[in-house]
Amino acid sequence: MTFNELWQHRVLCAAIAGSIVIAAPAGFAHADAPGPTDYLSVIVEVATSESLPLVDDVAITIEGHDSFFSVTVAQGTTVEIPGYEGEKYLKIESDCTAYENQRSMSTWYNKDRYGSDFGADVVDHDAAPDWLQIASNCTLAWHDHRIHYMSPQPPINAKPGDVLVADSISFTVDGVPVDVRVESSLVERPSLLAPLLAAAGALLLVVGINRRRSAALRTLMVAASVLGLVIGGAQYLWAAPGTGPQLKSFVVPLLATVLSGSALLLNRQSSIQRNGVQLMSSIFLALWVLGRKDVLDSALLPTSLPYWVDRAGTAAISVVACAAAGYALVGLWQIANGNQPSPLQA
Amino acid sequence: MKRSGIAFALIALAGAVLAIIAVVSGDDEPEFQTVANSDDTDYEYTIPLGAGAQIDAGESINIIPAELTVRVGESLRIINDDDRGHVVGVFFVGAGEILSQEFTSTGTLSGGCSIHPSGEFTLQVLE
Repeated sequence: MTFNELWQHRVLCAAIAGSIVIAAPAGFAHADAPGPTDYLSVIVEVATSESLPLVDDVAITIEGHDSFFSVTVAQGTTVEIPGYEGEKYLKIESDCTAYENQRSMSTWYNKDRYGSDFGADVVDHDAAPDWLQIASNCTLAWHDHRIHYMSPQPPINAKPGDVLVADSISFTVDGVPVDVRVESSLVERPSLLAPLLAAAGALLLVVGINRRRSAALRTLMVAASVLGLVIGGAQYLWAAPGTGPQLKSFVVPLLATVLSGSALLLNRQSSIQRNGVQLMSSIFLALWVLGRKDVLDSALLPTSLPYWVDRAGTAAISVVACAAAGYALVGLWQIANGNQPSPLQA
Repeated sequence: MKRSGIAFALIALAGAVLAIIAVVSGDDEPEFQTVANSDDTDYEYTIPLGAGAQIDAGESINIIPAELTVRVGESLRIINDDDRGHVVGVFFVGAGEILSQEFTSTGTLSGGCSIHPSGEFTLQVLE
């Protein structure tokens, strides 16, 4: 196998893998991972019976700012969580295994952050529960629609700080009733200054690079892909276990890094190959940015990075990806028309 | 600058502009017009003091219908005398606030309702 054939195989594999990752739906068990949001939910009270205090080592939290309600207990403790209609919905056994009743309407309604009726035909609250094991780490996390506002668009007349949701979730721990009161408030949206400045800076950079006779844009594309990998990796690692962090958040920029790196290494090879590989990598990166465009103006982001880094980085990457795609298209168009590519495209 | 360079710069600029447009136009605002504290109103509802506490205590109160059909040009007023804010469908009325809305387009809007036993409020605006 020649050097060219080897690279062609590698690039083809990366392209196919990227296409599958981009096109694949999210994991079914957690169909709606935490994303950017303008609402912040907090637990305001955990109430139990005075005669039956809550056992130690019970962690009740809200994950993803307002997305998931989570309960974690120590081994040996049992938890039973009823659904919206009082039916058997979730449970944790004493051996740390956690189960979900497939016949509960809450199971299907909670698949999506804003509610879903998928699977409604199997719901039967009169039948014996159909328990499906979904975890084995003593933790349950689910989209409980009582902890967040059920629309991405806040209600008319709502202002930052307004409490839009005030509700409670009841369940039992070792048979002890627990009532958790939750409030969710609207959070002020950020200024677009950081992403706009970053986009403008990136635009100046790519236009400036275009005037030079070098492979600097391809290097810049590699840098943008690596930045995307960092941003996507931070998003993936930030999501709590059980909340379904999506692989595509970092796998897509990883593939873009491989492809853009290949375009850089193919510097001395065919112009068609180089421009084609660069076009693929920039398309992957552009689609990745498109899928996370809400980070630019949402108040709370699913990341451990400073928010301005995520916003500015995403904006800058979008410009570099579009520029690299345009650059590759121009190069391919020139080749197709029998023109000699400019020194930059060559 | 060569032609390819100009084309390249234009494509990059178009990408940046598209990205900004995508962000700015991300949310679809309902086409309602707010009329603050209007004297004339076609539908008026008052949320009394203590309504939220009654709901917390499990009491069923019925202040606003679950479904309301209005016509373009008509207006709705919600007076919140309670000590907490309430969500009424797609509206939020803060504690002690008055919300007045005149409807300027047809459509159906549904949302949660913190003061109706069903927990839902659907508003249908007809021509």
